[in-house]
Amino acid sequence: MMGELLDYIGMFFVLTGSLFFLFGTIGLVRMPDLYNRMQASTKTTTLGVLSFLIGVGFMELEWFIKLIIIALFVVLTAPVGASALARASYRHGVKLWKKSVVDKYGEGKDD
Amino acid sequence: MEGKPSFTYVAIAMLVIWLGLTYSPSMPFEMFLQEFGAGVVVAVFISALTSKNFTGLGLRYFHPRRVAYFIAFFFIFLKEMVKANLNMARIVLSPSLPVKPGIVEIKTGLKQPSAKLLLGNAITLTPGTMTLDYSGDRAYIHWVEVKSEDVDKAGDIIKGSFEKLLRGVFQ
Repeated sequence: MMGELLDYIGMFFVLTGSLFFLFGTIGLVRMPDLYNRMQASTKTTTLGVLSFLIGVGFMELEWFIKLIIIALFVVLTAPVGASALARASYRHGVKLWKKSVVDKYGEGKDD
Repeated sequence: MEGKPSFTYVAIAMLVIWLGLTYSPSMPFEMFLQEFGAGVVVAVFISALTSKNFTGLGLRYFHPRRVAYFIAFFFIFLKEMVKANLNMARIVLSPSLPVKPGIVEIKTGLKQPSAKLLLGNAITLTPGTMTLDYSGDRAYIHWVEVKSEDVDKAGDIIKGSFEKLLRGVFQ
């Protein structure tokens, strides 16, 4: 009985995680330029992975410690990776979308 | 402020992570001893190679006041992350794609590299913003819906309460 309930809670979290992955993918297709796409994919995959890990944790209680460590690493590294990629793309010359309203980064860096 | 951690601290941290990844409550005691032994060997080896590349914060960061601020920071961060995802879902699912992107500049009063890193991470995972680069006390943020181009106003909106909480942790 208890185990079944935990299974259902786990499934709920896994399903929520998959939904966030889906939104991230839709964002990846619909967003106009690299930077907006990075935003859509980074945020949604991070929460998607977290939700997935929590869900698996409810299904397999013994793995909870491992999953928490994995979650910590994901939360610490995913945004750093996204920032590094976006910065590298900018410095390599990937342009902002033509309807972007402001670019303070470019203004300060014209050398 | 921030120093190099000693070899011992890195080795202990590595061992704790190793045990966290390999331990399971149902394992027999001999197996736990085996894991522990292997963990000590690996932890010593890895910290011998890498301990000089880590940034250490020192034990004074375990002061209860700092820990309390950090826990508050963590929970607000989680809340903001869920909000960010719902916001992103709303944007990508609406037919008109309501984006108004741009890169704004904000100022931060935080000094320590670790504090800046946490602030940058928090900004990247919260609604509509992504840290691009730091330059001194300036941060460059890509924003999906630019609400203000002014350095101070944009900073207030983007940083929210994160900077205040991080100042509590690090000062």
